[in-house]
Amino acid sequence: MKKILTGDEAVARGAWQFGVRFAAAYPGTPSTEILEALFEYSDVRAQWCINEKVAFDEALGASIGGARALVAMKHVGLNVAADSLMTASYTGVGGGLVVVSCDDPGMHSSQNEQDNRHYAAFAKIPLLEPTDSQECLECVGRALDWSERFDTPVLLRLTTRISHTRCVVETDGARQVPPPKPFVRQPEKYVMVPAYARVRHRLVEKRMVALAEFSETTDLNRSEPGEGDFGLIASGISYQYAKEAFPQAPIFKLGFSYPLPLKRLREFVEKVGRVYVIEELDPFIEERLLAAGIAVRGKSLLSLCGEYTPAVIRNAIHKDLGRRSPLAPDLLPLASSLPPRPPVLCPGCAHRGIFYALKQLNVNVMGDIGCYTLGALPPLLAMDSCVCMGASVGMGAGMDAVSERGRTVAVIGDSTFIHGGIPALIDMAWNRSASVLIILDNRASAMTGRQPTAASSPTGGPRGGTSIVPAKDPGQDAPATQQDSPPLDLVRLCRAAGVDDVTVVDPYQLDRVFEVLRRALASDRPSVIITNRPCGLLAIAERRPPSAIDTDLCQGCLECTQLACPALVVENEKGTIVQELCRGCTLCSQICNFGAITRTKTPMNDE
Amino acid sequence: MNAASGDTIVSSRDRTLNLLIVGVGGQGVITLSGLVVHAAVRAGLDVKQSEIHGMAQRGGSVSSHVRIGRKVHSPVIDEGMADLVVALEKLEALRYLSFLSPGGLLIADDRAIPPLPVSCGAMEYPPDVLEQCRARTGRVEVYSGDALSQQTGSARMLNTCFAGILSRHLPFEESAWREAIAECFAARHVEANLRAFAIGRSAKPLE
Repeated sequence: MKKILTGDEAVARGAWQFGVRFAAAYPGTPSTEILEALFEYSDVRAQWCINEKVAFDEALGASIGGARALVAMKHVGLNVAADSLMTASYTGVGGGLVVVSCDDPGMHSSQNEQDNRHYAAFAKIPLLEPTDSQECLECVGRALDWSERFDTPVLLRLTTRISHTRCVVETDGARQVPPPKPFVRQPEKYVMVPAYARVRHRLVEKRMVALAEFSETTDLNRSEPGEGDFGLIASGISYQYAKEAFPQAPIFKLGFSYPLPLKRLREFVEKVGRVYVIEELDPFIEERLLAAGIAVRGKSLLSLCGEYTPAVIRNAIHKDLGRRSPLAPDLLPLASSLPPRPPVLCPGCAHRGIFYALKQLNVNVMGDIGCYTLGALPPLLAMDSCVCMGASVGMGAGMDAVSERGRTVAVIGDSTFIHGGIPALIDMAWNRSASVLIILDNRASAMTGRQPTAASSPTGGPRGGTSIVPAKDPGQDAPATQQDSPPLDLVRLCRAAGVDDVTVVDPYQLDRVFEVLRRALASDRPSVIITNRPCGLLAIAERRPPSAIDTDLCQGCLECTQLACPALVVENEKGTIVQELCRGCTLCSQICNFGAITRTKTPMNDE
Repeated sequence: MNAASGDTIVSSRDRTLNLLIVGVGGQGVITLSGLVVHAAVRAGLDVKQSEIHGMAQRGGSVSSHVRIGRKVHSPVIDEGMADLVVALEKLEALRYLSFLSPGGLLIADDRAIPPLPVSCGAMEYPPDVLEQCRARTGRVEVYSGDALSQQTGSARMLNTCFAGILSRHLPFEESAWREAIAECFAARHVEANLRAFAIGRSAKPLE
């Protein structure tokens, strides 16, 4: 049966079809939809984990326990899981283990565009790169088979344009689960103390030799004949761009791209003559070919940065050959300086008031990864750094250590804090930093689609996203055994980490936000402030009547527009509130100097 | 083709058709793209559709590339190569106009949704967006999204109206579109969306 699937959905389908019994992930664009799609298959146990390393470890445990397992993450997630990956290469697997890395060339939704193919070489494991959704499905099966055959985790690398492209996929295959392989104690294989690890390393190097030979024989690597005075070598989405740019040219398609089939590539280049390697980001293939004495061209004419397109490839090669690109259209002249349309915090977003207050207080704000990173953009301009998941907490402590007291704040979301901020908080308390940590607890990983967190939902499993509960009243300790309560209590966690000064604040009460912030900044002990309003897109979010501006009272100072609220627009040099967009958070009326903004009596329409 | 204009962009299946759909996060660009993709598959064609998630969802500018043909390789359209650009907001029409091929057709909603730099007073929404579009390309059809919304009774189905408008320019039978609608929407919304599709299919562009 033909289905229309994104690459991510096809990976999920492949995992189901080829007998994966356990799948784990932490959400991250563009990988998120893999696990979300896996929730549709009730015979696969799929769960969100608190970070990528935990997800990896759980998948590795399931594999050693004898099941086929899959773990999925965005490219930077593999940095978090890298410690495990490097040694899982030594231990090898029980049931097949596929590690899916979704890279983001062009950084559509990422803080860097690292090329995770390097991880395959670094960890000495095989690398598969599908070029469309159909291949995503099939590659999961191949990866699982080869993982078991070569006793290794296999890296399956997608990029945004593979993950998020819908293609037609044949989905006739029924689910096949290989017979279970019960766990057998093999400390010399799974206990990586030096004596055992030295032996395993030798086996890894032998495995590399075997994989290199296998790479020469697999049909995932194939030479497609063509004509013309040059040829192409490509993998992943670059293969599709290259085919589009030069449909007639001979092309060597690499589906199993590490280790490379050097013999066959050498034959291809000797036969074709002039050959271009087409690969986004780093010269991963090109450098290996050059090192083997195989003359190819690539990065001398194509960029190390960003995504390619067919035209980019066509123009670069034609230029290199001294020809004019025949298909270059006469572009319509560009419109001059249009107003940009950047992403913005939603109307009613619980983060908005915090950033407004931080800007007013003129403190240094170490930020983190999530929707709230938008607090860095104008007019809020209230974030001074954003590096990686959880970095804000340690960076806040570090900056505080060398700065004037009461100047440093770290801001992190609930999911990001649980992912990577907790160890830094313990350290912040242990080393007596006077830094202030604000945890923006909106009950979800909002940016990636409102997945549950350990503090908001009783489960990371299939129904986790629909069982998100509001933050509990900070004054009352609910019994931990209550069936529907999440396992993690952020207030008690922070106290247990060694921070006595933990305050929960309603981010819609600006006076209170300022008061709590000023007090925490004046303190010479570590302090944590936790906000308690959910993401406005969650079902549990409160619906309030919208606000309106009395144009007679409005003096046109436009201070309200400094909140960067999409519901608040300037008309005739005065503010006005788009009623359909306003969520009635009342922040604008709280900052209005002229009392011109009030709440309307209109009841809110249900969504 | 029996629709109002009958002006099919690609009547032959030999060449890949490039369609760029743009708008503002939350407008239904992705749903509209899904309808086109399903209709193309119903019509027995290969199709790829590519979009950007994540940051772009938060009220940002959204673009979706749809390529339809016998065998489609690249999921993205290069600048100057789109046979059709459909813009659900007119500033986005102008922003992505460089993707339109010479001789391509722009279908635009005349709605203006101010982006943040405009709504907070830092920049001006260009008053002559559609004139600028017309100055750059001869083939422009503008529709009143507000009028269409009034006819369907909801702004939420505007994207399905635009599927109806688009259907006049794409080489699929009407039945392929109707099946696509049945596939893409929950059962209780199918009837209303079929009506919205019919309204779009017979809608007249503004003069």
